[in-house]
Amino acid sequence: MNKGDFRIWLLVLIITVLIIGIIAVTVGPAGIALPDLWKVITGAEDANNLFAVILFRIRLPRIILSFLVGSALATGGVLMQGLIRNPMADPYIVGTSAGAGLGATIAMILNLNLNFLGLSTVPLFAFIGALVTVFMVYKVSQHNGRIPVVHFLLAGMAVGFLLSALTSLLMVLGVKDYYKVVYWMMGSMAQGSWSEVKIIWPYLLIGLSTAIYLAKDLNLILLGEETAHNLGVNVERTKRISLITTALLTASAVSVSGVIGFVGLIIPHIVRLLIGPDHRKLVISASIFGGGFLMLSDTIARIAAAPLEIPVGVITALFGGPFFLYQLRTSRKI
Amino acid sequence: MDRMLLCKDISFGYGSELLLKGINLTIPRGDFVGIIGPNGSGKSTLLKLITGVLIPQNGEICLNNQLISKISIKAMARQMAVVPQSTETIYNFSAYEVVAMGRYPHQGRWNKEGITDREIIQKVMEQTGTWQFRERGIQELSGGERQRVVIARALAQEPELILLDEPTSNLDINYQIEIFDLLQELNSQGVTIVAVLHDLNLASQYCEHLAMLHQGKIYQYGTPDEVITVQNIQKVYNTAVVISYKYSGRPYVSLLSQRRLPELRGDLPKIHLICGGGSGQEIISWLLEEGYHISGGVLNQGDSDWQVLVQNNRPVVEERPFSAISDATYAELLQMMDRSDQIIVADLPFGQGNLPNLEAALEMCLRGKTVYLIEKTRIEDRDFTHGRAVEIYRQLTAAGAEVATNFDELTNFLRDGGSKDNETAFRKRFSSGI
Repeated sequence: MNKGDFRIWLLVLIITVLIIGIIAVTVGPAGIALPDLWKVITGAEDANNLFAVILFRIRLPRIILSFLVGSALATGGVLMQGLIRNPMADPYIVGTSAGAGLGATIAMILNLNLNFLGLSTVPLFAFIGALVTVFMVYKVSQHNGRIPVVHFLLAGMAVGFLLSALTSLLMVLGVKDYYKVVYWMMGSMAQGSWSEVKIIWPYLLIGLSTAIYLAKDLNLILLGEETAHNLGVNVERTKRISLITTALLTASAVSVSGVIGFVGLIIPHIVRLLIGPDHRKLVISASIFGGGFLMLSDTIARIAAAPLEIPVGVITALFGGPFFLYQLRTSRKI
Repeated sequence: MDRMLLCKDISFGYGSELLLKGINLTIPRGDFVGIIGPNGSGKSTLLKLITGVLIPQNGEICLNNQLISKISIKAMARQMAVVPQSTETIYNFSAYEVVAMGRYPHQGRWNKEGITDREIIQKVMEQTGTWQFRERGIQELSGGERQRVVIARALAQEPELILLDEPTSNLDINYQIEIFDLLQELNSQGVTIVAVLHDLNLASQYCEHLAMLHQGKIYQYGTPDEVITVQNIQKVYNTAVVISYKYSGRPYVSLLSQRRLPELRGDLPKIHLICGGGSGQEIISWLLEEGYHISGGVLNQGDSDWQVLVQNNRPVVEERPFSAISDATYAELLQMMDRSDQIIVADLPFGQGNLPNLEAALEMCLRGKTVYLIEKTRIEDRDFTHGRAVEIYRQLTAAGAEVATNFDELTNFLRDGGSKDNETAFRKRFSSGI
């Protein structure tokens, strides 16, 4: 894809995401028609106050949050897949989901009522759990000052299994209503409010900038770590920065929305099939695509069986899966 | 001396076992050096130490008189490029994108490819013959094309030194030559080249100097003539070889078959065989089995009959591939024929290039040596010299050369004119079913 094509593609992508956003705002149990929406936005005198509350307090933060979470997960996925040079890598592979799950479970058992930087207990514990786990995995896999990718993958999986087992044990022993934990693990945007948005956006901003900053290095690492070294990339430094960035991105995402699968694995893939493997284009495209995708998924989760909410992870898998399979069949570029 | 690369007393190993023990190597600017040695001798490890992928436990490595540990990775990539052994990639970048990555060490983090970059990329892609498929994905290319793209990427780094790790081990022979010719051309433009090589003949033909590694040490360093010797290869590879020098003037290694042959029998006449293109296969095997002292020629190197004789360590008068017999070789042929008692001329076609063989046979016949002519196909049908060969043939038969129209007739002749013990030889031949 050349430069001109890429600009058009990016523009189309942004417009599509904006349109999805507008649709998402209007649909829901309390339908808001476009003229009403316009009145609320412009602050017209005859605007419906109830609509304004629904819009600004409930829907808008949730929609923005779903975009940010999707964006963070997709960016994390791009980093991990680039770093590990394996298209099956997923940002949770660093251990974040298991760590966050354990943290959240502990929080629910202790039933504490803490508040830190606007985070209530469960997200706070999930965030801490995720970061501690990543740090553990990182330390375990360190070997002679380097992080061999295979060690890292295996350590991530092993620690993940261990923590999941602990989580299950705690659930059985300690939680009266452990459906809460199960539901949290499936991922949901239902708790989304402005405070969650405030939590995640700085991480996304930092993560995204770092990923763009590392784009060239990641391209070279795709050719193999040794080749990248021979072409002048400081491979170990790049790996370290990417791992920390992915950890922060996924920890922040997981803490506000639980474990939403599929986005981090499949979105980078789909975008790579569409525009090729160059990270200078891939990072920004995947982050917007991932955001839009989760926004759409969450909207469907909200309205498909209203007033019941379907876990958004179910939706992402249900309609991301077939799309990905279709892509896989029609394109040979992976 | 302008030193490009210096390895001073370097040792490396995993745990207590050392893979490399005290390697000293100085490579001057502009040299073309091959690192050879059997599997496990430490060739690739040495290369990884030079590139800084591995760090030696002892010793120092200097690039342009600077310790490589003191050079930034990016600055090193501006001076030294590496062509790895395997060029497989998981993600499908276009050939152009892959070559463009070679510009990385020259670019700032936010720089796009500038005009200079694009000019260099086009130049190196044209030089390597990869420009025409620049838009194609790297995974869609053949092994040879992909290897040339990787070499183009190395050239895009504008390095002073190129290191290659068995660059052609996965390639067909035509690509091997193509790539080595390209390397030679680059070398003549002043680029220093260091290549780990498996193929001794490629190493001998293209490298100015060779470092032969053996058990983690440099067994011998020098010109191909000094390094590629029967003794060194016997010691390092534990293999018997023959080495000929005529091809391109560099040592050329051929393997000796391990097959055991019967003892040479002194009571049998010495035979010189004129053959070529496989016309001598049947008769050579028989003569070898019987224990005859045989010699052959003139044969072009690489000819199938040449191969059989050389593998069995029999003397051959040889000529460069696809070349006509020169005067010097002709003189050599007469000397060798002089040392034998009988001459066999196989059933081969004659052209201007090998006609001197027939002339030599006539000369020997006139001097009184026994000459046998195998004529399964009439000489008229094998003559591509406008009658010259036929004419010499007539003179040969007039001078008393025996004509055998098939293989059995020839063995009868040999038996009659050969050993007193020919009954056994005869029976042995039939019992073994040849």
